[in-house]
Amino acid sequence: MANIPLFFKTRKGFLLFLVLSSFTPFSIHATVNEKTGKKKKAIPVEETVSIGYGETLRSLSTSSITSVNTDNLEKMPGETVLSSLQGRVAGLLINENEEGGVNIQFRGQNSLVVDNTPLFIVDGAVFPVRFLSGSGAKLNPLSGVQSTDIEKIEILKDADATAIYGAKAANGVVMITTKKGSAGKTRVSAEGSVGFSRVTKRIDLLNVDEYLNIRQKALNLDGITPTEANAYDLLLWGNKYKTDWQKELLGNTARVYQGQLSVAGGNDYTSFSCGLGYYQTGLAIFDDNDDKYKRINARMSINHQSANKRFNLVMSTLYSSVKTVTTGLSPQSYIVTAPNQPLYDDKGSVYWIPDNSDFYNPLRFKSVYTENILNNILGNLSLRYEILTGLQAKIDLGYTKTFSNEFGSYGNGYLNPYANNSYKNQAYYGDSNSEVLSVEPQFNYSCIFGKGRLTALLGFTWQSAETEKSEFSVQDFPSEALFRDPASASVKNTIESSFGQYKYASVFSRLTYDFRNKYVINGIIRRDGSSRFAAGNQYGTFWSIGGAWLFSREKFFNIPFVSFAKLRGSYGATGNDQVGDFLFLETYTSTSYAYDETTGLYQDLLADPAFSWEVTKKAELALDLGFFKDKLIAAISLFDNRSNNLIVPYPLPSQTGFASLRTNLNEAKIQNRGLEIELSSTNISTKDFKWTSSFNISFLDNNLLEYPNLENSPYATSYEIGRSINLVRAYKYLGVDRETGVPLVQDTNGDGSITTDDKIFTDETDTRFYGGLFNTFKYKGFVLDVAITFVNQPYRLGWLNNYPYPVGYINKNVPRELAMNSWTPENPDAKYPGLATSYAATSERGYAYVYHYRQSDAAYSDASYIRLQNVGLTYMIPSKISGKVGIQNLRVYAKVQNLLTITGYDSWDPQTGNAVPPTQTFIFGAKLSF
Amino acid sequence: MIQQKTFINITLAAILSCTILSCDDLLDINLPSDQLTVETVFTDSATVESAVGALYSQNFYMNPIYYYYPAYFATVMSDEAKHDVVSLEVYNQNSYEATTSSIGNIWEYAYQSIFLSNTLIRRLQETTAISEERKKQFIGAAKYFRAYSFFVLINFYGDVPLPLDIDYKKTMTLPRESMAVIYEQIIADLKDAENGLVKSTNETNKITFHAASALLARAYLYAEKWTEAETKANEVITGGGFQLETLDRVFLRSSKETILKIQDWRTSYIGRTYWGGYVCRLANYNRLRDNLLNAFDEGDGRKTQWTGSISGREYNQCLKYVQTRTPLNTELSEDHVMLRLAEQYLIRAEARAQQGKLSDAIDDLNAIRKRASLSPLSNILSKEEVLLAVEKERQVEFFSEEAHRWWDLKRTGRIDAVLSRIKDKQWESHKAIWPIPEKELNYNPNLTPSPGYGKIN
Repeated sequence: MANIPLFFKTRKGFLLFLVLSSFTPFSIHATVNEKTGKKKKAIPVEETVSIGYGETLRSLSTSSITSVNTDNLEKMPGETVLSSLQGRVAGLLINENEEGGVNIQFRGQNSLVVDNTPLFIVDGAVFPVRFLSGSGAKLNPLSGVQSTDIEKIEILKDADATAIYGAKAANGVVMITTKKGSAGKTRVSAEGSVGFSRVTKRIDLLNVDEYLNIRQKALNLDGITPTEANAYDLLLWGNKYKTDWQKELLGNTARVYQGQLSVAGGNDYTSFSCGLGYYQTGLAIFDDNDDKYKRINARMSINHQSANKRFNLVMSTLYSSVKTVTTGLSPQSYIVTAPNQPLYDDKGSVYWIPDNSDFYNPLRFKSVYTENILNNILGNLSLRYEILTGLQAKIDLGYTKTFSNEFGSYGNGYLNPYANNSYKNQAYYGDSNSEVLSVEPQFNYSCIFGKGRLTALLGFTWQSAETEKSEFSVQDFPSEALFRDPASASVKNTIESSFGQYKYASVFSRLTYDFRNKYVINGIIRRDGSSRFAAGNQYGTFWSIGGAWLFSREKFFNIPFVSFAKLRGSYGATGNDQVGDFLFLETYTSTSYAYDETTGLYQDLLADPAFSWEVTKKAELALDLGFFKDKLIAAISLFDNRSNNLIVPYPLPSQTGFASLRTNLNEAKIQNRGLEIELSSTNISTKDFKWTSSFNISFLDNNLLEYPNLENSPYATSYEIGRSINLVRAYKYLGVDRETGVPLVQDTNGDGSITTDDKIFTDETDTRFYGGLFNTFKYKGFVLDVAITFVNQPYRLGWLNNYPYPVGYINKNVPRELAMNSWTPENPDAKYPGLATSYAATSERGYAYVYHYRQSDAAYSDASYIRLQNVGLTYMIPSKISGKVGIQNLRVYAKVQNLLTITGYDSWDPQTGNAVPPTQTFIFGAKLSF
Repeated sequence: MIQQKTFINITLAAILSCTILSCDDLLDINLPSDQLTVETVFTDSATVESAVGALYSQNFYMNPIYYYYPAYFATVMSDEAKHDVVSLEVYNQNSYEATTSSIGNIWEYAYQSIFLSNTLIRRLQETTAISEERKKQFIGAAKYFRAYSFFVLINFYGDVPLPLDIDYKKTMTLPRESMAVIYEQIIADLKDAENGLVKSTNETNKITFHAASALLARAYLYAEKWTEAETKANEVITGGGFQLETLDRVFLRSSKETILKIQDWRTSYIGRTYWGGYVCRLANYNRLRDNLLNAFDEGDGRKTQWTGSISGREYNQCLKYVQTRTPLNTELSEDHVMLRLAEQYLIRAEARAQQGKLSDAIDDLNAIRKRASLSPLSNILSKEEVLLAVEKERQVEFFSEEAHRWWDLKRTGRIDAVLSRIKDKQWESHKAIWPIPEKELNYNPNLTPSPGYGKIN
């Protein structure tokens, strides 16, 4: 019995065959409650879910919400919250990007330019996941929250779930609840692990002899006589040296260490939970030490309840500090360095070609050091008081502060000693700060009203955020030992600073009426004001209406194997104000340079005071089903989200003095529609053996629905009605000219020359579908977890985009497959264009390779993949043995991340594109509690 | 039903709160600390001075139409120089079209500069923070910059839109205006500039009365107002206190020939990519053609001192600016010259020749020839011969400075005769006027394409 998703690559349609064999019922599924250790009957459809300023029973919920609980998160110790969600939630697409940041996309791309990141709520308070970007790395503040500190994560998707967050909710809401204590014996648990990680992907590049051969051929073909200037790789190096750049630059095996300690306990009135965690890992780049990435977390939470249970207090704090050190090297750019380029000269110093000012040795990055320290403090206090039976007053206070320091230095070794360098060495320093304060008083009222239960919520939000950033760079230190002392530098270069302020105020209300636990109707209205817009445009109203019908509870419903069935739907409007601060203001800013000792002030921005938020109208229809006494649970959702009032930089004719104006495109409309299926099942459950599975898949389709007068708008060459906004405009590649080896592209307008006018819309780069399959097998004390994720994205930029040199170019290695199948006069029917040593206009083959071929549809590759993301084996040592030394629970485990990837992608990695591929990591650890 | 009553009360409270909450105080934010509003800037004399300072730092340091573009494009478009870079090949061959990516560079930067002047003129007229005299002086400087930007625009693109307002809703749809109308505006702006600016010979790094006069003389010449051109050039030559220098001193910081220069930014610019005579130094972009080298008379000191081959290169380049990349802390001895006295002599010579004052014209030419160690021209030349002599003198005097050669050939109508003789160009007459960039045609439906470039759909 297995869930085998068989899917076929599709361009547009949703073609999927899901083969599910029978589910044989054995017994009621029971979960162990982590907090109490008590076994309780917790059928998943009856668990509670957070719905924003409250919770409800899952069975009665009218919303589209996916929960990920602690069991699933704990399988990935050391991972950050976002990476642990990868592939787990239908509708949530997470991709780690080149800079170490994370791209999160929720049910497709709603905006043309505005941030598509969901809203993050940690313990009830808004968490500013504004990716602070510095000179080097883009940082994700959530990276400091480790997955093992989290009780559960809920992802709110449709209008019914998200409208309560109004103007921030268009891209969905991710609610994170950290672990809390509970009454009972004090429990201590400790965990430690060690491991190693490395990059396993290797590109099959030419060896020295093959490389020299290709270069010689290319030179012959171009009729060039090799000289030390145009062929130093042949004449200076020949086959004297041999360097494996992939090994040098990406070959390091990094060690990973992780440890954590947590204590929880309490009595009937007061309980606590606290923990400390540490994580460190090295990088695959170069061969340095193991502490390139260090993370420390601490958390503490206290719950208190008065004796009469009318008053309740929850206080939680989180602290994290993450330090990242890099050399600033992008190894993927340099692995194509010629295989015969020496690393060091005879004296053992970094090699340079004498008197050649254009040459670079990647080892120069050993003289670069960049460091980023990101600290995050979060404190939330929630007070609740029951005024009357059924009427509660509550106030949530939240404070988050993020501060980061950046430092980077470029030593003299970074510079080509034969070049005309304008500096000796340099360093930069940066600080950024952000602070969010929120106050949210609420009233909750619940009563029996007629034959059903009425729940009402009234709440207010006031939020204030400030960000500050400053950066400066200096150069020419007398000694590189003084890099940390900017005052000692002889030249002070630039100083830049920026400042942002944001305030947000709203009132919101929700009414839910539940008639006999069969019919539920839910309405939300929220009025929001945002300081990101000018007075007069600051306020907007957002709303939703949702309903659910639990038709399995109707008397007429009588399908024996269906244990639960619910139809639900919702419609509503949410907004997106994730743009920069002050964009409605025309302000004066200072010029970068002073003239004759006067620094100027000038207007650097054109503003549209009428500029306002984007609106996304979301519609959803879903079916929640339980089969075989809920041993198989299925949720099927169809959604159709439409965004308008899109914020864009609207291009202006230059005669206005500016290139664009930040404004709203009132009449353009983007549609994101899709289908999401989530299944979870207990396939086998006997005394000794248990097998559970969960599976999810999301299909997405993005369309530009309306755009009046698109043909005459500045966007005529970017978009087309009825197609995705991720549309590619490229040349149509026609193949190689047999006679000359020149790559040919289509002359669309037939004017006899190839210009950008000949580009056509080729295809869309969207992710068509994605998901994951998670299986857990338990046999006595052994637990085996297998996590598989898959993504279908058939049209992504591939190898050609990252390596813009024709085959045969000086000092650039190429994949063997490409080199051996490139056109030469002896091989006129080759698959790939001809060899060339230059891409100047005078070299027809090379020019066409770089300016036509590389900008054609041939540069795109199918980046779909299936990945064995995580395999973990845990053994619980029987308590008979561990109990003898006072240990209640002792587990040892081994796990592998990223074990195997199946893909046809032609570049580094289908997930990270042309960036460093994700590492393969082996971890061995133990966890004990007493 | 107490509970129902309570519920109704809550609902009422909710509705009430919704109305109260429209109080905007909750959303009051402070202005960004690195930025100022228009009101703050123009109510304080110190910040007004800074806003005027932006004319210099934004134009002279950040806007390439002042220090770079005219020469960069025009030297290779004319018969003056060739280059070896793919992206400039279309200019070498004069095969640019509305879709050529760099064809809009001058357009964009010129209008950025015009907007800067337009806002300043508007705000300065309104402000009461400074004296009327200062106000006139500052507006004068802003008008000088506006005049120069329009001058560059029309001499590349012909008829262009004439935005004098700062409201984008009004300026975004303006159609092209004739060059004659724009020359009227340029002349009016420069006259206003003369009225407001101070007469100073020392402050050549700032816009002065004399700089306005010198540019006005040039504008009159280009607009073929010969008497006004002669008068204005004469004023600069006789009343400005400037003097011709020997060839080796013309581009030095201490040169008395300089009327306006961009002061070097030694202390502020990273890496010092740009400094005096940028194009002159870009050897690859500016390999002097034989057409220019052969135009020098035998014994012309300018050929020996201002051109040559360095570092064993197989071609000749411009050597007007010679200071090499020096360590950052040493004083530079050269500045980027924008206006110099020699031009005024040649403007006067041409204006005089056009009015038939041939011997006066020849005297002016001889003043420039003498400095280059050349013998005086004979006094029996015809008007046409004198005009050709002026053209040639300008060619060998101003090569690699702004777009002088290109502009001269265009305004005298000699461009077809000269450029069609050059083999590696496929010269067509309409290429003398640049196409309106495709992007601008797309974004402003009221713009018409330049003649010969066809309608872009």
